[in-house]
Amino acid sequence: MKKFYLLLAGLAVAGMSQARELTFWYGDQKIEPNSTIHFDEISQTPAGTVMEPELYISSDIFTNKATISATSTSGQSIQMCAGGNCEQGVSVTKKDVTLRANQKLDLEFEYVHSGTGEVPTVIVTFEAQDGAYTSTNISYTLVMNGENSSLTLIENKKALRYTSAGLEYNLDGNGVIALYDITGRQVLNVAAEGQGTINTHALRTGLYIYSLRTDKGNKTTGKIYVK
Amino acid sequence: MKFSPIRYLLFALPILGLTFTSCDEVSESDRLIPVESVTPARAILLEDFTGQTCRNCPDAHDVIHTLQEQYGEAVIAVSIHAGAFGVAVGSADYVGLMQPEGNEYDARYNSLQSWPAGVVNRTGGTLNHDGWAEAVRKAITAEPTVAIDLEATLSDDGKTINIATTLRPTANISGKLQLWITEDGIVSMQRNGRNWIADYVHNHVYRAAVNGTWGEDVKLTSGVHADYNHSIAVRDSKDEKWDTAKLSVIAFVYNESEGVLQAARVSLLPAGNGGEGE
Repeated sequence: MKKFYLLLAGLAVAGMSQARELTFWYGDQKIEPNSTIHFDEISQTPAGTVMEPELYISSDIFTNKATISATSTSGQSIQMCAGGNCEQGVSVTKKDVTLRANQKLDLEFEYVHSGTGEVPTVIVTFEAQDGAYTSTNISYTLVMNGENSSLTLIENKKALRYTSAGLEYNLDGNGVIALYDITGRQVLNVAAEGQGTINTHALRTGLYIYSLRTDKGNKTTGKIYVK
Repeated sequence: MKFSPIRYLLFALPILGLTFTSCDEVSESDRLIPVESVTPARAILLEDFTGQTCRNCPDAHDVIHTLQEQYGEAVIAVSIHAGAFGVAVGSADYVGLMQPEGNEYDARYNSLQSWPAGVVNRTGGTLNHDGWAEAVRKAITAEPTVAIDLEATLSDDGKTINIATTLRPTANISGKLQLWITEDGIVSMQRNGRNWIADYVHNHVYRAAVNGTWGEDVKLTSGVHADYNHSIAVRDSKDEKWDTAKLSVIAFVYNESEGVLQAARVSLLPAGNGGEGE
């Protein structure tokens, strides 16, 4: 009898220790929690220029209480459906999402850039949690860089732009180019003339704010993401 | 120490209890529950808030199709293009289907502000399309308090739709009579998952309100028939061109407290044809 009760207690503890784990995916690749992933592809659709990475989420056990949110920290309006109704906004939250055990659910996420003008850099933070189980909370950051996309739709005659070669400039005359990190610390300050490329390999990956002053008195500021 | 079953029981039972509470809850909508078939007692109005760039909206269109196969003319569906995923008439290089009134209806009745979403008889709140079947089944068996006779004909010159409506109440009713124009078979762009379907066939698309966005006031006395006549110009422009062979007129009586009391639909007939009321 003693063994029976011990077995009962043991089974009860075993039942409680069932794992609850959520995982984000980029295609077939697991996304490590708190990491940053980059996506540079754009495509032209009837709705406009679209950045639509293949993002998924999975759970190791069945749940119908998953909450998934996507917030554009760069301020653009994004879309997400996650298997259900589709919503749009700077922040989209899907509640009570059903996840079958070990089956990936397509987040059906995208950014649509309608109209003309360059496609911006869109930074999105994704978070997910299974019901009230805070230990399942996971998040990551997605950076979609339309400027460095593989498909150029619009003639880009910007004075300054970031490419894999570095910071390319195209000035009408002379100017001074300064670069600041997100804390406001100046990390670069060079004089430039005409066309050229500034080596940025020493810079850490991240978001920077640039300032360009020309000898004609023009000042331009903007943001670039250095990889 | 002497074995004490009570002690072990006191230890095991709470843990067992915690185990059962950690089991997955399967919501009612995920369970298989057999339901009996029902006989419609009235027609119901299903307003489907949809959009051409909404990737999951075709799923809702399939639900409508299934419901209409099951209940026939008792399910009167109207797809109202609206919101973030709607494409306004004349705004794209393909046929846009979103009318300004669509966004007014969406603002008032689509409390989810997500698409697709629907309302059945303007009661019971906004529903995901997986909840429409149950809502329709419940609404369709209620005995109606008004019958609607509806006739719609096209003028000889093909430019005007003339509508004759007769309401036959079996109770005193204060509410509104709403008349809409819908169109079937519109071929235009539709998002479906990750794909774009250039030649998607859009059905039961809301095109226009005949008697104002929210209809006109009616005060009906039990047993007393009330007749109404209306007309609307056929739209024929570069941005919006109605195919009169695929138009329908929808009529419904509603009020804020009871929702839609009765609905009716009739296909537009050419001039010279007697229309059949429903």
